[in-house]
Amino acid sequence: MDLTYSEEQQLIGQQAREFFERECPLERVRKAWSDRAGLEPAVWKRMAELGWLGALIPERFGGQGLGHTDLSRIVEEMGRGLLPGGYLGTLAAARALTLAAPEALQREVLPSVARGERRLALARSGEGGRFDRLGGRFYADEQDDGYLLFGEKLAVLGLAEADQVVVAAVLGLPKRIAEGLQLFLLDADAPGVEITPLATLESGWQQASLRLTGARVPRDRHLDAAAGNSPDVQSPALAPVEALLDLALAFDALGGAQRVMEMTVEYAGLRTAFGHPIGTYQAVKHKCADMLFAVENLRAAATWAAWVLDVPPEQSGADPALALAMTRATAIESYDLVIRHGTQVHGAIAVTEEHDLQLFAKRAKTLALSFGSLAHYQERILAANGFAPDGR
Amino acid sequence: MDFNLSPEQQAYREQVRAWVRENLPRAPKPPRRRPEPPEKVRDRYSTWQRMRADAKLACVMWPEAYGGAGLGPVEHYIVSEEIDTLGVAPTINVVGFGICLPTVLHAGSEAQKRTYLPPAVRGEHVWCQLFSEPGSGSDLASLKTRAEPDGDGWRLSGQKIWTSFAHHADYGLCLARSDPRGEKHKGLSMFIVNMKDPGVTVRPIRFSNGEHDFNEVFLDNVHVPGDHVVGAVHQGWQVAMATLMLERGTSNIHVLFRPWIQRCVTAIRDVLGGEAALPGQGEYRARLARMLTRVRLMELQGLRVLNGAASGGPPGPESSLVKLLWSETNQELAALTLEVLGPVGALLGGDEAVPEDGFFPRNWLRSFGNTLEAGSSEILRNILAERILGLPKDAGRAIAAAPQPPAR
Repeated sequence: MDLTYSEEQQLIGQQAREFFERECPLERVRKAWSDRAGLEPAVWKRMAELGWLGALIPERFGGQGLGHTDLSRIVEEMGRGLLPGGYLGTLAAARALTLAAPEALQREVLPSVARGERRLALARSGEGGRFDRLGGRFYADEQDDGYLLFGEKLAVLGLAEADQVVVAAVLGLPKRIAEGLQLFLLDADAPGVEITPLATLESGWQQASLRLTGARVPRDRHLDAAAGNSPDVQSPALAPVEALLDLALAFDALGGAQRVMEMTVEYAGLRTAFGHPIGTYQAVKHKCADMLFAVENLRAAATWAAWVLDVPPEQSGADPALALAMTRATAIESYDLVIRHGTQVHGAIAVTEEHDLQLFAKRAKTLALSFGSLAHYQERILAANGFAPDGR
Repeated sequence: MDFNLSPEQQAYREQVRAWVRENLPRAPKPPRRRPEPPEKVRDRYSTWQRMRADAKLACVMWPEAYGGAGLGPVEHYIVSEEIDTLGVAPTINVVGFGICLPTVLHAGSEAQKRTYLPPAVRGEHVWCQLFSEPGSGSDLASLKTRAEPDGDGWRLSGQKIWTSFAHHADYGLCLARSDPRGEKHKGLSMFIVNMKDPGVTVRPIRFSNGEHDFNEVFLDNVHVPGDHVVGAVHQGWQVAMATLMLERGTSNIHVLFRPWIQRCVTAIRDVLGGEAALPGQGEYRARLARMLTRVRLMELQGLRVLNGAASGGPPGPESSLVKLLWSETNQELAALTLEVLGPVGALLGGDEAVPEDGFFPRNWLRSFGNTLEAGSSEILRNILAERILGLPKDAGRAIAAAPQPPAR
């Protein structure tokens, strides 16, 4: 047992914190939000030079071949710095390509992703609570030379700045959209692909809607071709990609929650009322203690979940789906508590546009609403503990 | 990052399991009638503890010279998981092993260690902790029990309360004011009191669920020899603080809650997951999912504290997180279980159909104490805020410490 980060992992975290503080301080985050511009290309390029855009991409395709725990050190700092842009979209789509795509397609796409020359997004169909109620419905109609894709999805992370998008669609005409999903790679500027940027609560994530009206996909861009052209076959990449997204959202929340807690504790030690710093009063002090409780619980869950994804199931003895569901449920509740208590301790200044705390509040809520609600994760936790689904 | 035990530690676990398989059939049998007479309780405890001591599976972290096995906190944790959770014997010396005897081990003289530790390991002695007083709970340093010099020893007088298992105890670890001029934390000393000595009176306190663990202890001019002081005279507060940190450090109390937690989860699953599920119980599902997550977090935070202890660091304030987790989780889960059970949850017995002979309502009543004992939730939050986050001490304590303005 060793629950500490390796020297390399400590270094990655330290380097990431310094980098984001220097290259993307909150003033730049604010500008990116107001311009709806995402991340400055120069910063994206430097992140590529540091190897972060290819963190999980195998070394033979120009990546670093790192593990989830290594990556988590970077993502935690992105959350701390409220990094704008569709990093998570590129991360998830590149992971899908790595896990499912034919060798030739990986060689064509992944090196330029790692070099920072190509940005990606991932659009997944889904009904039920998994992605969102507005979840897309995409289907692929087989032709002689490939597929025609149809369907739409309202909000896709990072799509507004993406060069290509991985779409999860069902083969043929769908019966149930949640099963038999396979992956296709489309160019963002191809005919039949309509992308419309959205105004969002958190304006840095570069979300856009996607409408496909017979977009043509050649056979060599069908990622799961090897898995068989059957509507019954689900892409084997989907579950690990969803796990990766769940993990990344949790670490983004951890970094942000930690920073809001630090801001709040500092303020509680400086601001005086009735002759003492407000942090001397237990009504305030215990809110701060509860913030620490929330942050440390999230840290315990998230570091465990990253480890569960890094080792084979027989070694961890844990169900990755359960580990991620518990981690995400904790992330949603912990960040929410930290925002509420942080705002209350700061007082009215925290609800103004001028104050930084509201930026974190918007990010926290966006994280909480993305890729699965609290109720979704709670049902997954119950299912993994042998409870029948809630039929009512 | 590695959440698994090492191969050697897993091999140790297998050894412990093998011993349990072989010896569990020979363990003392649970009582046929309740309440069990105290001498029978004591007898069952001593028999099982002796079996463990003979197998070197008791107090494994203590040096071999004092009856332990000279192993580390991870082995201690493994033994807790594999043996303490079996519920074979009454836990009447849990405070002795968790607090009193570790204090003797860390702060006591060589003679004290040789006198008191080995017999306790063999189950011959039971200890209790004489800290809290009717007027001094969370504000422990305000305690009033006096220790007056008497020849080469001391005379102790005062009243202690909430003393778990004092009715079984042979010895008590007592914090008393040895220097009346000392302010609050200064002038306290830690004494070993023989509970059978003249002047010691133990009166039972019944918990709201009818169980008897707690007692009042009256000390009336109890003579304590000079060599019964643990640590230096007037340094009792420092000794006590180290003790309380131990209580929240490697005590593994959360491991002991596993069987109770599992009973609650199983009862809830039988209702919510079965055909008897009623409309409108969706809220319970969300609360249960939260509880299941909390239980997992409790285990993970326990591992983090264990990892810190195993790497040689002193138990720090982080262990307060584990205490908050087990106490609040057990309390919420106990209440949720009753809500899910519905009217049946208020039945204590009388018919075989009553779930677990009324365990769930008794468990719910007992759980109220969880956020009070071993450091109240409020004190724990103070510790987290002041020692980890660095917030200033609360205004009351700050004002008391600050120079007062001159009166007009």
